[in-house]
Amino acid sequence: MTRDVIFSLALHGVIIVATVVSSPFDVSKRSPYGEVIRVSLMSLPSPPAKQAPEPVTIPQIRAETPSEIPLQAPTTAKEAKVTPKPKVKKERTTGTTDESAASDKKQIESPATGTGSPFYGATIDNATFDYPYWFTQAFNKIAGNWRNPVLYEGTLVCAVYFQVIRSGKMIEIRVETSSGVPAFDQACLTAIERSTPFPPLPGEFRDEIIGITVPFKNR
Amino acid sequence: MKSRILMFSIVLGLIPSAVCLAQGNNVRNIFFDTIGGGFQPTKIGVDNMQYIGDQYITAADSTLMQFTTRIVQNDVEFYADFELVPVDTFYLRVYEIAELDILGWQRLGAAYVVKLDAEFPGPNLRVRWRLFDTARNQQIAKGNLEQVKSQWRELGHDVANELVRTLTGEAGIFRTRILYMKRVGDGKELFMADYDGANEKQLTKTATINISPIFSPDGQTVYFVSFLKGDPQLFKVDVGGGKMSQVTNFAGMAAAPAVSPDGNKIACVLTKDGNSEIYVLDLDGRVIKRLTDHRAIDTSPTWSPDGRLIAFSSDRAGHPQVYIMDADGFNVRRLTYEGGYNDSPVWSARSDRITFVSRTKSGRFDIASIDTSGHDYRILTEVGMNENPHFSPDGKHIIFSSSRLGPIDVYMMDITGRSQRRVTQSGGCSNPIWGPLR
Repeated sequence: MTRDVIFSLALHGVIIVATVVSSPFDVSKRSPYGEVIRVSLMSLPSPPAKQAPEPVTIPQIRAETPSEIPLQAPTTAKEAKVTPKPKVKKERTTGTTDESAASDKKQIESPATGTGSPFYGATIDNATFDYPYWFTQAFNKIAGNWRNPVLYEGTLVCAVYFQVIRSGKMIEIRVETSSGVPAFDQACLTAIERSTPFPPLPGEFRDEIIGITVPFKNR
Repeated sequence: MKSRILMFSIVLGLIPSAVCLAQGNNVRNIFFDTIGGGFQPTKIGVDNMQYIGDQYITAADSTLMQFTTRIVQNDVEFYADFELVPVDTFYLRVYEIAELDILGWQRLGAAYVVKLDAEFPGPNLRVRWRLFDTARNQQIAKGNLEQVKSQWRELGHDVANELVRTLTGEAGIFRTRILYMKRVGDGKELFMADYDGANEKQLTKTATINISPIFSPDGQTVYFVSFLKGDPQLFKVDVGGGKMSQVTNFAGMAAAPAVSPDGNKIACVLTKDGNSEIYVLDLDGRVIKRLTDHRAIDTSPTWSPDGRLIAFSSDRAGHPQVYIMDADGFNVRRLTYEGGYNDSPVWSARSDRITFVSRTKSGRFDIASIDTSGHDYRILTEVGMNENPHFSPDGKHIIFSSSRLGPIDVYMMDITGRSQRRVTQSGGCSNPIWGPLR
């Protein structure tokens, strides 16, 4: 009898202890809202505290980046704020003069010579010609007449140079860089010859002639 | 068993998709291998004409401005290399604006915008046109054109011609004229009109059947076949004065004349030696040379633009097909092999294509075209009976007759079959021919 009473008391004790110990975990586990995230109102002032240092860091970054370009010894923040601007400008001007000295050729920027276009990489030898519409129209005509007769797994590139005068008439055409496949080179020449006359050069353009190099790719 | 059926159906379903994928890859490769970037029509917006004078204008002048704008828009819409961007009135209402600026046109998809300004000096209409590149907001070209008010159609066409010249470097076709035969009473008379069907003018009054007109290269004389003297013979008529005279008087019949590009010779079909053969005549109707000598029927000669070749149709293979020979009659070779019936060939002014009537698999007569090398056979029409194709002088458009809406009328399209439009509305119009550039 006493054994039974002790056993039941012990069992009760164990159950009570177990419920007391496990109850807070049980509540969190059974919560239908998933994980409980602790939120405190004290964290609200913290974002302005984080933003505040940012304006301080930005000038530091700006001061560092130009100083990296001239590859000079780091200077103080005050000097860095003044010096980088003229240095960058100087670099740009020297860069362009170097390019123009090396060659008058200028990359043509028009939708027809975008990266997806077969004419990507076309250049013009007169850097003052700034009429993208002209290239859009001219390259659209060439694209309409362009047929590749060569079935070839690899990449073929043939650069054709041609000159156009004010009226839109083509006066010279030649293969600048051969693809090595005569039929492909001939097809490139034919595409341009069939596209003549080209649109007349804009009235505001001063020079009488422009020369264009067009790379044709088979893929 | 069930799982086996499931597996089988899954595999069966995968096969067509795999085939589609493979085909898709092939098509893409072929496209990029052969056509490069491909041609895109130039999208152009034509803004409504604005009055820039300081006087009050009459309602008639206002209407004139609207009509002239409409001519320019029609021309741009029809031209093979252009695509008209229509004014989106919904767009205007949503943004509560009266007219589009350059940025607005760009948002509607126009690469170029034409702005038209009008003035009325005396009895004239003066139009100032300006062409803008919308991507850069850059004025590309401008010009002034002036005409008597009654010539507003011509003025609109001139503006469109200037646009074509500026953007493509080529001559516009909007001032060209067309010829066709129209049923008048029991006869078929020769009529001339602007390329868009306006300003129709009757050239002959013979009360008989006239067929197969063809312009001389200078556009001043029209040669045609008339039944005026019983047998069909070659006649010519002056476009300006309407003076008509007979050119040939052979036994049998004369048919299907084609004036050579230099304007000094006429290739023509004669039956004087018993069978239908092709001859070359001088402008007075004397035979210079017989070109074909075959038991079969040889007909419909057409010159290449350089005058060195002649295409014609012949049933020497059992049914009509298109052949090419040198202009002296030698070196005959067959051009068409597709379709059981190919007739009425016409050589393009760009010299790269030949268009002809082809009986397609549906049994219909359609306009087709083929490269002069014999490749790239294309059917250009899809409905009705279509006949008598002829190229525009720029080689980018085709005029033909069709009975797709019941009565036979003259239609036009570009060489890809796009923008088909009806030119004559009266019915009974056939045998259209496109005149030279003016």
